[in-house]
Formats: sequence, structure tokens, C-alpha cells
Amino acid sequence: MRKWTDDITKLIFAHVVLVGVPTLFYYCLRVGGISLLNLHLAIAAFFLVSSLIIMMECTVALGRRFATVEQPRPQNLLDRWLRRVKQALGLSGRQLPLSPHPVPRCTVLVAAYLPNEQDIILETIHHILATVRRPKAGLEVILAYNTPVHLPVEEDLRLLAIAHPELRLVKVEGSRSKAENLNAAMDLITGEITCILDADHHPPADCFERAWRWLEQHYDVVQGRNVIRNHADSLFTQNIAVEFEMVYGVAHPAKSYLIDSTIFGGSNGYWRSDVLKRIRFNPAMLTEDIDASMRTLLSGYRIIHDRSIVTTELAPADFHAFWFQRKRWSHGWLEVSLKYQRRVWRSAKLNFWQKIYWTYLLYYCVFYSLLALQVLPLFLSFMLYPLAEPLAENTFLLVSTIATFASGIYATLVTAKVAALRYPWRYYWQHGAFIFFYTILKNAIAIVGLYDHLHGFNRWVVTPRTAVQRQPSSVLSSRPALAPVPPPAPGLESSEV
Amino acid sequence: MSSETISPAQRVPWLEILQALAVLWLSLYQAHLLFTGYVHRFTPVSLWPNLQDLLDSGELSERGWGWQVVGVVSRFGYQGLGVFVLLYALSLVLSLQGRPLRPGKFLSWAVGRLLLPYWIVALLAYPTLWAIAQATDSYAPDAWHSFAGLTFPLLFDYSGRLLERTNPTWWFVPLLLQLTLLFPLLWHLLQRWGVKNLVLVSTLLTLLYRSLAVGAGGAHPPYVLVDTGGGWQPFASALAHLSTFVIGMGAAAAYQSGRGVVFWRGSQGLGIGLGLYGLGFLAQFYRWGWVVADLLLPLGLGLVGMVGFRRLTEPSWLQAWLTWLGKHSYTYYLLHYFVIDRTIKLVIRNDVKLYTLLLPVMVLGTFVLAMLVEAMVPFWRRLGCGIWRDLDFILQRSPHPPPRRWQPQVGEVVIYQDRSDWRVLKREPLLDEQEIWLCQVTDGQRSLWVAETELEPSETQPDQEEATYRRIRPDPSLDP
Repeated sequence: MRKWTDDITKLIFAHVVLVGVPTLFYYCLRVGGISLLNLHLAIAAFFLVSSLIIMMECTVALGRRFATVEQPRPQNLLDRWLRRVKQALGLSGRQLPLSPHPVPRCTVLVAAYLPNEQDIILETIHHILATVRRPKAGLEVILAYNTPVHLPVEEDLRLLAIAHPELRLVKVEGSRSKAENLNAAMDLITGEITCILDADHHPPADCFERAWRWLEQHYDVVQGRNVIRNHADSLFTQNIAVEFEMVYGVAHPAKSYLIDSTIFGGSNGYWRSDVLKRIRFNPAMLTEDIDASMRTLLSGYRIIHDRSIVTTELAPADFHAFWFQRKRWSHGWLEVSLKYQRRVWRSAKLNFWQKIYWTYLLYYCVFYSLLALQVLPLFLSFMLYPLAEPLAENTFLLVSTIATFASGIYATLVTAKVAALRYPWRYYWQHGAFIFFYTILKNAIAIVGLYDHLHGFNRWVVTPRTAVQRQPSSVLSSRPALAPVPPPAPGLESSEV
Repeated sequence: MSSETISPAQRVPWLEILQALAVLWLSLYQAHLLFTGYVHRFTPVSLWPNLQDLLDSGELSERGWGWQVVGVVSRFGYQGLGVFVLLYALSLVLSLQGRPLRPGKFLSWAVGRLLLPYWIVALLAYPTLWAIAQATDSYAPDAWHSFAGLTFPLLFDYSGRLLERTNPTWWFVPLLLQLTLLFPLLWHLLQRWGVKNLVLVSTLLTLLYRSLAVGAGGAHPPYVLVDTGGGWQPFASALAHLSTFVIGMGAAAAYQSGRGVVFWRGSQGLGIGLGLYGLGFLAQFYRWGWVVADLLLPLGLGLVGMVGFRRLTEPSWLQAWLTWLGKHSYTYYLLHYFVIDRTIKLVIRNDVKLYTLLLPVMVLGTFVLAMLVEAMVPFWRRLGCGIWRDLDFILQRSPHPPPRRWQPQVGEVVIYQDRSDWRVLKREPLLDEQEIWLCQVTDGQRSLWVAETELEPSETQPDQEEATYRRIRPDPSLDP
């Protein structure tokens, strides 16, 4: 089994090239009396753009939209005034009418790699069977799994399938990826809506009802929000929990509001089955979900993010799992960026702002990890030759530095406001305190991902799931702030998205 | 050469170490010349005065006899150049792996592995030299010659005069490029005429050319300190090294058939090698000896080196290490002058003690830089390809490729990445603006998913072709 420490040599090499060599280069220029102010300003501008986009996303994410005609009544004068302000700013949100049609037949498609997920799969299947409300047209649950050896849990699953005729087990022989498992189960889907789930994801009861509103409004995919179930396990999982809230509660919804486009994140996604059967998944890609998202968008289908569909999942158990998960994400994102960016530019299915935003998400974000790192050699060369020109007096540098730090604080505060779970405040303080180091760590992983991509290393390392992670944390018993409350009647309630 | 170009299976350890030693020797020669201010170079006035000059030149004698030996050996480092040409031919033939040569594909690959490391070194070296010049108020390459270097071979010059202005040792790159461009023709002739005939013809041609160059042209080899009027450029032409190159090709071709000099007994190789080297060594001190010296020296050194290192490189751990070492030799060559020149001119100057202290550091430093450059090759290649691909996609009028005429079927043997031992296991349709197909292929040891557009029909099953290749959208105008 590979360890994250195997990547240390790559990490060192990448930093020698990206930090060490430029430091010497800049040092020579400083000694030669050449001003590097313009370079400082260029890098600062880069940071400033990123900070402004983060602040814009956070502000937009504060404004909520309502999936039904009915909005909750204003609670007080302040609430009423805030709504007017939001309306004036165009943030009051879109109002989606109630669906006159009943939810059609639905399918839950769970993909699992059993040697790794054998400890958690039964719990997930039990949860789905016991929790998810069945539409009148019916619900089916398909577990598409692969395993190189026969496991005792397969017998348990077989017995469960006998007890629940809506459960179908699909053992995919020869499969070595999630994409292959999903593709193998595609032809068995009988529902009009298909929810794709990972083996550790627990969906809410009314997930299909909420997704149906959007699917009926000519959207083709609805992506829900994922939150961390085992966040109380360690400092690390607490940090990841806040990060997930930022991503699924702020960044993705903001994208969806701003440009009416977002991604399918691999799980807790609700597809029109006919679209899913056409798109399918590419087993050659490291992040088959992002690849499928791009193909969906480029083929003219629409994806929306609904942060009221809250699914809980497990954070990586340890640093090793975290490292390889993030490296795969980073590597996969790079792979997708290089494959699709140019097609985004020429696509007739995306509008101008969608193209701009997708350029920001693809190429800009890929190169951000490289360019942002140039702050280090600039700083180090300045330390080596302190006689160089003073930088503190430059207003632009000062503004961009303040904006960069302020965006982090603002993002954390907004996340705390819109979080699906009411976490203790210390989570946010911790996140604020560690975000600098956490960002450096993620950048370092991204650079190793880049190294792997350039050298053609694209082996999938499975994120380990252990029995220890099954233990539900105390938060499970507490109701999420935005978690859906199962209604007593099949009618739909107003919900914030 | 660049690290990803030749698979380990194609690499021969003793060849790798010889190549590495050849460039190391060249770098010592360059260091010696720079340190001594180009004072000691051989003259065509017979053997004795040159040997006398060799014994008298004692710049390093104050550092002990060991360093004096290093100094003497360094003075003959130019001989590594011919050895490199010989081994380059060997490596090109071995890269074919016994398969038929497809000139277009071969040239794009072989030229790429010459030029890509070169461009990366140029791209990194010019700004670095400029930065060093700013810091030390010393020489910086001028804009025109930097442009000429970066855009080579756009401003192609067989003798490398344009490149010489920024790096005097880079005249060797155009020479290697000429030989690479000639390779497909020479390979064709080698198959048609046989090794002996081609070696005979090429040797006659080379001798005739070198005789004319020395006699009528008044030219001299680059390592000779004399102004003969004709300069040394005629010796930078591929014709001057053609026979060495062809002999290398012939030796490799014979090796692939399990015969030839590579399989000679040690004593036989050593005896003939020493004899050839001795003759070449003497010849280089005489004007008419220049005609044959560069033919004999690399052959002699190659044979002696082969015998010596064939035995030494038998342990498998050593083979892996030497292979790793050898694959950096070309990049080492491209870099060594920059490191040595800047170090000697800015740090060592005339200090003998510093020179002896820093010589190993320069060698090691160049090697480390070569490793860094090699490791950066994939990045620059992908970056360059990516920019070109994006630009091409944006600018072309119809970005979608025309429909394919052939679609691989499950069970079919196909060509993937130039290998025809892949079989299709599974096909999977995907929507990607239009319907595309992915194929899971296996070579018996591993399986992977690839786009069907990356596969080609295998020619190894012509009898099954009609049955297995389903032609879609038949278009008679497209048939050959």
C-alpha cells in the first residue's frame, strides 16, 4: 500500500524548482538593482482577483432563494428590512412554483468498493431503505459494487435484498473503478430520477421531492449539499467539516446563483435518468464526476445546486487518506481543465458569463497554485537582500494583502451563517487559525498532483473507510440548521436553497 | 537524451556509462581550456612538440601529481565528441527495437528528443545568465543571439555559429540534428546495401570530404590551435563524422541480430581498440592525420570502453544506476559550458586551489541541473502541446474531427501507442457533445480505458480484417 510519505521526494523537487530556483533568480536581480515591484504587483493582483471573487461568492451565498411560491413570513422588522435590501440588490432569490405533478419513480444508485467499504455499506443501505420517502410511483435501490474476493458482507446484503425487493445488488466483475460500477448499473435503472450516492453518504428523507422541483423546471441534474458526519472525530475532521460547508454551502450555490451552472460532485446528485444514461461515466478519468459535469454542460444540459438537500458523509480517517483523496481531486481537476477548457471557450451551449466563470474555475484555479506560490520566492529573495526597495509603502500591495486576509475571515463568517449544521464556534476559530497552513498544505498536494499528471502517474488510491468511522457523532442527533424536516403530508414545504 | 524517450528495456548499461563518461570528459576539457585561457591546444607539427607541450604545461602541478594527470587527461577531452556520435548512432538504432522504421514518426520523435531538452536549457539558461550578469556586472547574452538560440533551428546554421555566441559547445547540436535527419536514409541504405557496403561507402565519402577540407579547404579540427585559413567549420558538418555514425549504426544493427563487435571477446576488442586508438592518437598531431584521426579515435575508445564496462555493469543494481546516469548525458552536455564558464570567470578566476576544489562541484552541479531540466521536460512538453492544442482548437474553423471510418470491436487486436499487442475487452458509449466510444484494452498484463480515437486497426490480422473491422460510413474516396 502506498504511503503519502512516498510523495515527499516529489514535493521537495517541486518546491526546489518552484521556490528555490526562483528565489536565487530574484535574488540576483535584486542584487543587480533591478526593481521587482511590477512582479510584486502582478502577483498581488492575482491574489486580489481571487479575494474579490471569494467575497462576491460569499455575498451572493448569503442571499437565498426559495424553491416554492411560499416564503417564510418575516420574523421581525429587521428581517423585513433585510429582505427589502436583498430584493433591491437582486439577492432575494428566485421563487420556484410548487410542482403540480407527483414525484415519478426514483432510483438510488450506490457505488461501492467493498473491501474498502464493507464496514459501512450495510449502514448506508439500511439508512436509505429506512429513511428516504418513497414516491407513489416507487423507489428502487441499486448497489453496484466490485470486490476482488468474496466477502461475508455480500451474504448480509443478499439477505437484505430478499427482505427488501426494491434493493438490487449488482456485482460488477472486472471493475476497478466507481465509473465502471455506475456504468454497469445504468441499464438496470427503471426510475425517471436517479440519485447517485457514495457508500458513505446518507441522504435526507425528502431528497427526491426537493430535487424533483428543479428537474421539472427543465434542469437535468440537481446537486445537493454534502456535510461531514464524523466531524467531531479530530481537529482535522473539524477543519474539513468547515471546509465542506464553505464549498457546498457557499461556493457551489454562489456559482449556481451567479451563472446558473455548477458541477455534479460525484454523490448526492439527482439526474434525469435519460440524461444520465446518455452521459455515463468515463473510467479513464480520475474525477469521473467532474468529467461527467463538463460533458453534461457542454452537451447543453443544465445543472443546479440545491443546498437544502443535505447528505452526510465521512471525512478521511487520517492524513494518509486525506492526502491521496485531495491529490486525486487536484490531479483530476487538472485533467478535466486541460481536456475541456478550450471546448468551454468555443461552446455554443454556454453563455459569455458562464465561459468566463468556467475559465476562472478551470485554468485560473489550476495555475493559481503555481502562481500563488511565487509569493514565497519573492519574499525569500527580499529577506536575502533586504536592501531592496521597501514594499510596505505601496498602497496597492497593502490593499491586496488586506483584501486577501479579509476574504478568508469573511468567508468563514458567511460559512458559519449559512452552515447546514450548527457547529461549535471553536470550529470556525480553529479554521481561521489554521487556514494559512491548511491552504499551504492543499497547495503542496496540488503541486504533487501536477507533478503526477506531468509524469503520467494516475493511479487511483482508494480513500480508506474504517469501522471506526461508522460511529455516529453526537451531531447526528441534533437537527441541522438547514436540514430538511420530513413533512407529515406529501405536500411540499418552502425550503431555502 | 531526454528521460522518457527510451524505455529501460532499450537501454544498454555499458553504452549509457560510456556516453556519460564521454560528456564528462568533454566538460573537463572545456574547464581546462577556460581555466588556462585556451593556451594549450594541439598543433599540427608532429608528435614530439605536442608531447613536450603536454609535459611542460603544469598549471595544476602545484596541487600534486594526481591533479597533473587530471590536467593531461582533460586536454584530450575533445575525443569524447566522436565517442558520443558513435554511441548516438547506436542508441538511435536500438530505439527502433527491431521494428520497421516509419520516417515521419521516427523523425518527430528523434528530433524532439534532441530539441526539447535543448529548448528548455536555452529557455532557462538565458534568463539565468542575464540575472547573474545583473548581479555580478558581467557578460550577458545579447538579445539577437538569445533569439537565435531560442528559435533554433528556425535560423538553422549547420556549423552552429549563431549558437556559438551564447554557448561555444552548442555547435554540436546542429551536427546531431544533421545526423538525425540523415538517419532514415542511411537506415534505408543499410537495409538495402548491407552493413559492410554502407560502411565502406560512407568511410570513402568521409575520407574524401575530410581530405578536401584539410587540403583544398585549409580547414582544421576544432581542437587544434592553428589558424589554417579554412577554420574548423567544415569539421562541424555531418559529412565529417558520417563514417563514425554509420559504423555505430552497423554495430547496433549487428547487435540486434546477435552478432558483431558487441559480442567480441574481451581480448579481441581490447587489442583492436587499443590499436585503433593508438593510430588515431598519433594521427591527430599531423596535418594529414586529421583526415583519419576522428575516425579512429572514437572506434578505439568505443571498443576499449565496451570491453571495460561490459563486465563492470553486470550487477543489476549497477545497471539501473548507470542507465539513470546515462540518460542525463545529453542534457549535461547542453548545460556544462554555462556552469563551468560562469564559475571559472566569476569565482575561480586564476586560483589553482579554487579550481581543483570547485572542479568536482562544477561537475556535480551540472549533473544536478541536468536532472532538474530532465525532470522539467514533461512540464514544458505538456505546456507547449497544451498551448498549441488550445490555440489550434480555438482558431480552426471546424473543431470537431470528421467521423471515423473504423470502429474497434470487442476481442479485436488493435494498435495503441505504437504497440500492436492490445486487445479490446469492452466498449462503452459516452455523450460528449456527440456520441463517443471508450474501449477497455488489455495487453495481457494490465487493462486501461482509452478513447477509441487513440486506437488503430492492427495489421497483424489481415485475414480477419473483413470479419472484424466494421467499416462505418464507407467513403470510397477515402480508401487508399
